[in-house]
Parts: sequence; structure tokens; C-alpha cells
Amino acid sequence: MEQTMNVSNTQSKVFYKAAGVLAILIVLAGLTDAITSMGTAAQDNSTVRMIEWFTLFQTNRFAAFSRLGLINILTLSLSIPIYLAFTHAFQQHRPALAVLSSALFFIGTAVYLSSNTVFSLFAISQQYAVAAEAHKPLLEAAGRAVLAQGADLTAGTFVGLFITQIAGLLITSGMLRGEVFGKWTGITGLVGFSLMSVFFILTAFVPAQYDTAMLIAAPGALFMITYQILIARKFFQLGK
Amino acid sequence: MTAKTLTTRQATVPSKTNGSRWQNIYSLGGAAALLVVITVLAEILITFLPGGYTTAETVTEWFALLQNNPFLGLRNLGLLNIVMNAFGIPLVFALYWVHRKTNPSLAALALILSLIGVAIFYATNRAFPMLNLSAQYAAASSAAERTMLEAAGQAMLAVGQSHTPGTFLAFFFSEIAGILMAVVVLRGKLFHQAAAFAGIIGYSFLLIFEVLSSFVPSTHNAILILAMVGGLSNIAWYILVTARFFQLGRAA
Repeated sequence: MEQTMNVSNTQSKVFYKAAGVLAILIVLAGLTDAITSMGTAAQDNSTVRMIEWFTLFQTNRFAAFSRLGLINILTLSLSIPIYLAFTHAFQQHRPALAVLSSALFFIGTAVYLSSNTVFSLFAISQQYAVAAEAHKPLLEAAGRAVLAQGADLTAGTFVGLFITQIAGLLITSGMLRGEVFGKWTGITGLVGFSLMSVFFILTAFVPAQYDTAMLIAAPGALFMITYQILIARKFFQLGK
Repeated sequence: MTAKTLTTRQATVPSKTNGSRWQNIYSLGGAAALLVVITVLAEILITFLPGGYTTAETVTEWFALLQNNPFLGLRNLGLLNIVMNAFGIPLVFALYWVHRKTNPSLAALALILSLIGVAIFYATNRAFPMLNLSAQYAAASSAAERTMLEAAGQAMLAVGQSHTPGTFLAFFFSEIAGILMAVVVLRGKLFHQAAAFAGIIGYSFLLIFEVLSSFVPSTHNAILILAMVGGLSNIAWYILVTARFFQLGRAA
């Protein structure tokens, strides 16, 4: 029995360390996104013409993927084991809250990943690049439909992203007592998730205020990066 | 057998008192795995039937196929994957359940990734909407209406045609989950090692195939060998898992 517990304990430590590494990878992804978007004018995705997306996919593939949500796909996917690690870390103090926020996060991620159409649009852009002139209007119309369904930071992908932000608000509110993660980790995360929630609401439903939304996103991203660093540090401590 | 292995097995194999409860889990896992095997064999059998390899390239060809042979059209748009994923849910759950004490974190992660993969697959599959569009296309009375339906069909295919970028995430999650669950099975020692290796090899090959077919379509003919090796290893994984679940069920 003791041996089994030791095996399980060792596995938990390895899992915490892995969660720490993933949190660092999220920080790196966030920094990459921030650095690569510097110097380019911020523009609401729903106002970009179809043909511009097709051109961007052919001339600057990274920018096209990034603007249509690849970084969000990456960070949400990397966060799945992190939420699982939260349920482990909180099983003594806040088990119900941790399970609820994790369940919400998994649902939100599944909804976002199934509604985001960056890969579908990439496929159409590949067809468009080699299509005959007569066939191009058809592909443009198809692209428009795909974009309406799942362009990042538009109403099409809002629900999934918003559910993941609610999950983040829940888990960080559970940190405020400072039992497992520090109180300041909770506060940092709470502020970050709140700002990002406002950002997602504005970009999806008030696209005319895109510049204001970006002003909110900038400090929001800084808080989120700090939060990820703090939870990475804690996961590494738990893994020792 | 080391002391550690013995203890691990003790943690996994049930006592006599809760044997019937475990028997239910084993039966569930065995039956689900068996149904997956039957679905995979049906898929192979259909391919060798007359017209079974018929496929479509353009939207109008898809519409024609769906009108002339709805079953084949739906099957080529993932109908049997819909069925297989439905059977896969209880199978993955049973595998998680029997390993939840020996490898709780990795087994839970594999279960969650698998469920997310299935959710993405169901949400993005466009077989039935395409059948609906094909019926509208057949009944369309003007060229303008047909052009509109072709554009709608093109959008559907971009999202839900198997082994294209549109369906990449669903398959990616399912295959990563499969690799992780096979690793859990390998470490758990409740199933034969050959099953775990077949799972790891099968899902790894299918993962590489999926990445290449989605993003490097020019390699299509060369990567069919990957799909074949991956598919055969996968069948071996399902058969070995089925056999072991039923064996455990009888012993419980």
C-alpha cells in the first residue's frame, strides 16, 4: 500500500513539473505573439476582406495563423494538463471549485477548438492560390462563410473563449485564500482574466471599439504572463 | 515480478467483494472495444465492395455522390468515424477507470484529451449537412441557386472533410490521447505489453499521417503506408484490449 502511494506521489510530482513546463511554454507563446504583432496596425478581424486573408496566408503564413487564433489554440491546449494539475493541487482545500473550473475549462476549450476555423480557411486559401479565375468567387464565398463561423476574436468564437475565462476567474478566486497558490497569484490571475474577458466581449460585440479593446488587452496580457510565471514557479515547488 | 509490480497489480485487480462491479467495467470496455473492431472491419470491407473506393474531389462531385449513393457519400465524409467515436467513449472511460489508481494523472489526461477530440470531431463533422445541401442542390431550379449551394458546400467541406486541415484538431487530440492511454496501459501492467506497443505505434503513425495529409498534401501517396501501418497496429491494439477486458471480466 505504501509502495503504491509512493508510486502515485512520484507521478504527481512529475505531473506538477510538467504543468510548470507547460505554463512556461504558454508564457513563451504569449511573448512570441506580442513581439510578432508589434509594428503591425491592430485591425478587427471581421473587417479584413476575404482576398486579404488569402493573400496573407500565402505571403505571411505565421501572421495569418496568429491573427486567426493559432496562439489561442496553442495556449488553451497547453492549459488542459494545467487545469488537471489544479484539481490535484486543490483536492485538499477546494476540490469542488477546482473540478468545476476544470470542467468549464475543458468544455470551453472544446467549444473554441471546434468553432475556430483557422485551419479550414488555410485549406481554402491553398485552393484559391491554384484556382482558375472562374472558380475564385466560389472560394471567396466559402471563405466568407467559414470566417463568419470561426474567425478569432469575433462573435463566432466568443462562447468558447468566454467559458475558458470564466473557468480562469473561478480557479483564481479559489487561490485568494493563499492555501496552495499564493494570494498574489490569485489576485494577478483574477485581474488578468477580468481584463481579458472585457477584451473578448468588446472585440466580439463592439468591434467599433477595437482600439479601446486593445488598450485593455495590453495590461491584461501582462497580468496573464505574470500569472503564468507565478503558477509555473508554484508547480515546480510542488514537484520537488 | 518485483514488489512494486505486485503492489500495483493489487491496486488494480479487484477484491472478491466488489468483483461484480469491476465485471461491469470490464464488460463495458470489452464490448466497446469489440464494437470498435467491428466498425473498423466494416470500413475495410466497404472499401473492397463494388464502388467502395469511389470518392469525390469537387463540391458538385460530392453532391452527386451523396444523391446517387447516400451511404457511400456519408461514409466518405466520416459516418463510420461517428459510430466508432461513439463506441470509443466507453472504451476510453473503461481504460481510465481500471488505471485510475495506478496512474491517475496520465489516465485522466488521456481521458480528457480523448473526450475533447471526440467533441471537436462531432462539432465539425459535416456529413449530414452535406447530405442536406446535396438534396437542395438536386432540387435547385436556377443556376444562381446552384452556385450559392456550391459555395455553401465548399465551406462545409473546408471545415469537415476528413484528413484535411479542417478536421486536423479533432484527429490530433484523439491520437495524442491514444498514445497517452497506451503509455498508461504499458505502465499499468494489467494488459499485455504487446497491446500497449501496438497502441503506441498505431496512434503515432496515424498522428504523423494526419499532420502530413493535412499540411503537406503533396506527400499523399507516400504517406498511405503510414496510414496502413498505423491502421493495422490500431486494429491489433483494439483486438488485444478486447481480449484482455473479457479475460479480466471472466476472472472478476
